[in-house]
Amino acid sequence: MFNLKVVLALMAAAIVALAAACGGDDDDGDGGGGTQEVVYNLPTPPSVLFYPTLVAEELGFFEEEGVSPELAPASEEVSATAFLDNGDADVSFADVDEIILARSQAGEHTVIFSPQHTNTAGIVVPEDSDIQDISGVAGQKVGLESEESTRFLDAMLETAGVPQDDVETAVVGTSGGLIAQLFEDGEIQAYVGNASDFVALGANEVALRNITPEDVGRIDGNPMAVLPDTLEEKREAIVGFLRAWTKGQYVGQVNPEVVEQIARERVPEEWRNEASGEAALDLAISNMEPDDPERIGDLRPDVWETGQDVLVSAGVLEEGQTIDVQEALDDSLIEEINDWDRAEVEQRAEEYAAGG
Amino acid sequence: MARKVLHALSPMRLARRLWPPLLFLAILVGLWELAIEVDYVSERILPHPKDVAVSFWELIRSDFVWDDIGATLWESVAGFVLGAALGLALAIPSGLSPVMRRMLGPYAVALQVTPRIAIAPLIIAWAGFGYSSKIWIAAIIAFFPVYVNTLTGILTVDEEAREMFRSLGASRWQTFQHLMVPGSLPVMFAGLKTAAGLSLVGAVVGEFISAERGLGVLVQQFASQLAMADAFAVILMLMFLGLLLYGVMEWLERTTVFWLHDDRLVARSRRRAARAEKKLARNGGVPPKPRPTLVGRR
Repeated sequence: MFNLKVVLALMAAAIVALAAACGGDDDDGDGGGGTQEVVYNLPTPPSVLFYPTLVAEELGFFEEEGVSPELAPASEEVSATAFLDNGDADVSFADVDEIILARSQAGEHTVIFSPQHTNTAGIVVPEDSDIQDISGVAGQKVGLESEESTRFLDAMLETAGVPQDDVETAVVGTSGGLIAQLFEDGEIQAYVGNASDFVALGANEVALRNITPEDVGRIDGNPMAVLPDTLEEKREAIVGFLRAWTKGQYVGQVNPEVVEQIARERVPEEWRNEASGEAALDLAISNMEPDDPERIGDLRPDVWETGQDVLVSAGVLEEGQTIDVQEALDDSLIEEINDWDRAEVEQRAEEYAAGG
Repeated sequence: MARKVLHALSPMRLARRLWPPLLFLAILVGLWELAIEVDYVSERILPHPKDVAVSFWELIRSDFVWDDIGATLWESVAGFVLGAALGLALAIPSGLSPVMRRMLGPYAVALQVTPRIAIAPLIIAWAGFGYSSKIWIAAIIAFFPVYVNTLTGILTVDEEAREMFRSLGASRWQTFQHLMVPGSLPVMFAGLKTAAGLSLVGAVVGEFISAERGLGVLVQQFASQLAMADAFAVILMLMFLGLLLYGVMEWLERTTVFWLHDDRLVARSRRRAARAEKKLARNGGVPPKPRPTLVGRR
């Protein structure tokens, strides 16, 4: 009928080959062609929301810095700091609370760059809702993007003095259609999620109002963390990566049309719904507007102190577990990262727009 | 052969075969459309079937979606092969040895009853963010049906046939090769068919958590952007991928376990008879020497 020994041998070979192929995605860090690889973790797949990497790749900024970037995306279910701990990423764009909690548990995660000086998470209600601020959600049902948002909601409630038990919650995910329907049916009265979800809803005629408390809204979104050993080992490559990033970020500030052109080319799936695509681009560019254009990605210790106070008051962090924010932040690379010719980058963007 | 294909494709025959599923599809689409028309379901959640069809057509004509299809297909197929190979590799010794069965059985069941979605983030944290983590998730999900079905197949081999093999003096290997393997193949293929579909589920679960490409990523992206027709079109693609994997397993089953399918059995007998006739003609009408018997080959 068939040679069973051959079949069994093939089966064994298949297991060994596949297991070997699946053994891990580590490599020696050499990106090939004389470039050094930098594995970076983001909370999304390639997206206009993190346009600097798209621009840097397209305009050759990574190449001229001798860096070969590799994206390691992960949703909220996987801790961004875990990617650093297990060596799956060299740098990780994590949440402020994740980094504070990791350090409070003896982690050595250090923040060296923070591209978004505004919170990318928040809480919204329908435009015509009676709820005017965060205290208004007492006695209401709040939809959450993920279980992880509970921590963020608790922190916001604490700032308004609303007991956590006074609010009912339900994890509803990120499907825009579902969130809109839940609001319409009165199943939820507020939603905690990402600004990108809010703008997609807003762009599709679901009018929302942001009621995120001001001090929480100021907390940085997605600051970049690294472990000291990795920084020491790959300092040059990480600085090169961030220099290319800041150039890409700068292009968004001076020539958003080029970013749109690149994003349409690189992530066409995000433009299937034109309104959502345009809203996401506007949001990304405004989120990444630097306080000082000469110090893109600068760190703001006062915002981190606020973030920590909010975590303590919400009971997420015990008083005795607080971290020394100054130790967690290292802005010594900011100058070096921003040391490049603005005019040259502007010209490169213009040439690209002109089809060069 | 050509005559058979033409016969199978004759309009009458096709119509007779296709009208029941097409009628059911028409009823389903009609109910779907009605649910939207009477506002039972919002268009925001359930787009019009026509819009889904248009999205499907536009997406398959675009360049980007094929990379995602390729990624999901690779993760599913590799996960299936790995899971099935592991399932077979552990089921065979378990079927042959009661000690192995007692040793592995509880852990295989424990793995099955553990919700795999709960350990998926851990697998991603361990195996990394590339294809390998998705392949492992798919493999872990695909493993159990193959393991349990193969084991069941081996354990339920006809006792009388086993006794006959023993009385003919067959070795353990001969009994395994000529009795247990053919006897367990039908049940094993049922497990493989289930595993093929489940490996796709595993790949998509992995993509939901961490992936750069893949149809699971696209579903999430489109859903969050309120591009619901596109999201449904991608779900349709996932369904076709599942059907493709199932179809391949079905074809493999019909080819391998031919004795369970009358048409395959008849076709095979005819081919063998034709080959024998050719051989006879080549030998000048002298029949070839008979093949050695089971006992003679010891």
